Amino acid sequence: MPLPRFLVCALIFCAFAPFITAQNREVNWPTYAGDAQRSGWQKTETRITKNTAKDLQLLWKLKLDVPARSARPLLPPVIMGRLISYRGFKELAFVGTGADIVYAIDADLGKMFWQKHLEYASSDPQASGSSAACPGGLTAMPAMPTTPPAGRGAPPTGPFVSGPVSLYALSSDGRIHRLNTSTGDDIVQPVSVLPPNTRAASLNIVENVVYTVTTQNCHDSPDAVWAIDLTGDAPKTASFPLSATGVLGLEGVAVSSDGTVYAGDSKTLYALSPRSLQLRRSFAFSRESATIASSPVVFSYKNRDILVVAGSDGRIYAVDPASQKIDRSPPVAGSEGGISGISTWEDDGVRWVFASVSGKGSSASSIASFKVEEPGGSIVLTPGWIFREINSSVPPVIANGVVFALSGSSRATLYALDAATGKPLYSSRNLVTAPASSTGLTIANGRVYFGTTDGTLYAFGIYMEH
Amino acid sequence: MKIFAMIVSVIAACVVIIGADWPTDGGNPQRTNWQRDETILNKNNVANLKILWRLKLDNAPRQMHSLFPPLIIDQVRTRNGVRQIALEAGVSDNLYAIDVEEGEIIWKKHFEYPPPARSGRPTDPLCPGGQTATPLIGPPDAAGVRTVYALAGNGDLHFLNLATGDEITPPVPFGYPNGKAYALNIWNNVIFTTTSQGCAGNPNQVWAIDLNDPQKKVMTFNPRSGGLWGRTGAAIDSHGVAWAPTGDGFYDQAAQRYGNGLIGVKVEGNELKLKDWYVPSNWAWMLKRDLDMQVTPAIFEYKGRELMVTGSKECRVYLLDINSAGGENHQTPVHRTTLLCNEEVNFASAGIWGSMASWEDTKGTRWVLTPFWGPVHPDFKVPITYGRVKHGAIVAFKVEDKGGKSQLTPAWMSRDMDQAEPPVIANGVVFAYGSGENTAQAYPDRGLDNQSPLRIKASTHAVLYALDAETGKELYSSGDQIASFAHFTGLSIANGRVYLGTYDSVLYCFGLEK
Repeated sequence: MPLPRFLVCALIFCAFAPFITAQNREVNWPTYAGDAQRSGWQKTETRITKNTAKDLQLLWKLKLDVPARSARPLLPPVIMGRLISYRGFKELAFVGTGADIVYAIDADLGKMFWQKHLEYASSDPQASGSSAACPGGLTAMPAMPTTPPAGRGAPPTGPFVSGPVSLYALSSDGRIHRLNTSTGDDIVQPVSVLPPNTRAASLNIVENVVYTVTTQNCHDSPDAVWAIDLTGDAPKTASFPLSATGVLGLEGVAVSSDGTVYAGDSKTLYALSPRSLQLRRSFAFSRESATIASSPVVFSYKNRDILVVAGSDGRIYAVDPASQKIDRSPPVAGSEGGISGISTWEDDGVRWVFASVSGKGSSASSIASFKVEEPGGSIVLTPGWIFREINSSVPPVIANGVVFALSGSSRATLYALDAATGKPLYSSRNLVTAPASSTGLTIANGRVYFGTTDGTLYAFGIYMEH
Repeated sequence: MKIFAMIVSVIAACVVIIGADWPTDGGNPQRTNWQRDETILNKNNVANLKILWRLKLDNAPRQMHSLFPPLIIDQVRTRNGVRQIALEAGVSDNLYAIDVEEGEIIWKKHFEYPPPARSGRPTDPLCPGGQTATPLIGPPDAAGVRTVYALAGNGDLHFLNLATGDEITPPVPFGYPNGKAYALNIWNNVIFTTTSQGCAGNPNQVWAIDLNDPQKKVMTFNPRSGGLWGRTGAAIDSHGVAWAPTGDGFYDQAAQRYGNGLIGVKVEGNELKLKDWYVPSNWAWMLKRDLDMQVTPAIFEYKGRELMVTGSKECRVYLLDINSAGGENHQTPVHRTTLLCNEEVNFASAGIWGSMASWEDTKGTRWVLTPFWGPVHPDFKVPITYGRVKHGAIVAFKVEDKGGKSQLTPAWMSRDMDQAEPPVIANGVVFAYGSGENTAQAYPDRGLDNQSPLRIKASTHAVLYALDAETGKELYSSGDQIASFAHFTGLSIANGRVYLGTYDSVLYCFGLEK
């Protein structure tokens, strides 16, 4: 007996549903480097490809209110791919600035949607001075929750988690804000969770817990890893003290697929339990000649987590928590330079690690690539291509086989490279008129974003007719 | 010239005697919303419009829906004599035949059927279930009987005698239960409808049934889009091609997906075939922002050509040639206007919703009218306006040729109307209304929350306006005489009377007192 026609249609729809969803859904970039693991990999990009990268163009730029003195005034935008708001369907870019302002920008049009000044409300005076180490103001890139792995995740109860997806921001007074993505309003009264005037790294939200790291003992605040449990009536804070000098990167912590929280100071990598931050394991670099120079990036490789960090000696270190083995790459940065960021992605079963190398003098600047391999049961970082025409101070980001890197020179330049070969596919040339903000790149839904030191947010991407 | 004047006079006299009809939603298969045969209402007397009667019907509203535009037929021989009848359809599977002179019910029909297994989500305004398609009335047969074609909520197409309400022949299947069908249309004995929103899990497609086919085979064409929700269904051109907007969706010709476009389908043999289509070049943007192509086009003649106009929530009007809608690449219209409204790019409470209208004045000028919701776009320039437009308005264009191409030239924009709905035109007068319905689907504190109870509570009341069709000047307003709002319905006009049904199941009849 033939199937009813509507049933045939339903079956056809089901067959095509994954394809439809992939095409249809605008995706998020909810946190620094795009995910809780800090991979820098946008896994669902469809518009930017190796073939279309040459068609990238400056779509819009928008000047925002930033502190005049800051070297990193604009934090990379969080992207909310689709908000069905009372003002329409929007793709929003949320940008935090050192002026304690969070902006929501219509990412398609480059128009302001809302802006919110996070009032300073601590009894301690607001830090008036600013330095590279302690810039003051909002220092942590805001975040939206990353998607919890299937089958896990605490039920969202309590005023800080129940209801619509929200944006979370840490103001310079140490209060956590839950912001309405449609209006910028505080959904609940912000709560003090950290000391004021810290230098907090980007927020990382996993299963209703906000993680960050404070460094530089700014204004006598402790250097520590922080976990802010948003569930329940009020946020609860746990911390893990860092004994050595903290790492300056914006990345903060990386959270693996099993929820383990990875953070580091200059000498040790720590594996901490989720939420409570109990020490599970540590990986001391005491036997190495170098110190840890970047926040960790974690990825899954052959069903186990692998950590990668930069060393002060210009090498990438790969840590296998299971075997406790550490592999180090050949040096890619000289004594006058350093690795300023790491990202990773997987292509047809090949795991790649990319490093942004900034250099001075004899030290060559570049984007360096490595393949992760395991020839004799141990992780090895095998050098791949190097692209030497770039002096980048932010980690690259990857989408659909294309690596994006940002040169931070007097006029920032965005590069798109073939992720497999390093072949240049696009350069923004002289379209940007100020140095890069040295904070990071964001990529989502056919657009790449970054800020410059004059407080301008740039959006490059594939043109869509409006 | 004298002979021509005599002919016109004779025709006018015949119309007065015989009376005009409004046998289908939008007035005709082309959905022009133009009552060509009106002789009673005019610019000089329309200011004296009154509510001649209001009739409370026992139709239970479903979600925000209640009454659909009544169909008007004059000179119907009933048991009690010749009557002019308004056939009113209610969403709860009711039909009412109303004597328009008295405002009294002649007969009522309720379609009975077991509750369908599937229905829309409770409180969802998109899927009310029940009878959602405005019926249509066929021409008189040899015995003078006029058949009412009505699609019950269970998907059965009924054939009723307009004079009595009796079933002429048994109903035939024409769709799925609670499938949200739109206004029926007819061409050469083929009845068309469209469905949308996937209500009750049903497909979104164009449907046709040939009344001459003994098997009554149901023919469909599915553009694989979000839904064909033009308010008055499909419009039909002189070749029998039914044109319907496809709502949100992808456009991928290779994959036979025609979302965010306007498709033309025609019955060939016993199949419904795609003949042509138009998809705006910025369809991906429209899809991303939920700016559906969802406006039933109006089809008209212009200098020997057959053109049509449609619109979208993006708030542009498209002028298309039925012989090649969109040109070779299906994306090049004859003309595309600038944005009339919706600067904020909103999917609700802004843009063009419903259907278009078109008429030709005595000087041969072809006019196109569109309603829109929300504030006028600051970049939209129109020569004649009537104050700031914040909630919606009617815009009139002239179809003109410039530089060898036809275009839509803005002529006037009406006063502000609270959610302006598709107008109708009669004898140089435009009748329009602000629905008064709350059209919010999302809220600042919680985002998308499109619930009928919320919207019903926040709605106000409809207001009927009469405007000078050449200038847009307000000639009449019903003020606060209408008690309730009107969701997804429309105006009907014939023989000096204008009709509007509201959510509270009251049918209003406006006209001139004798």
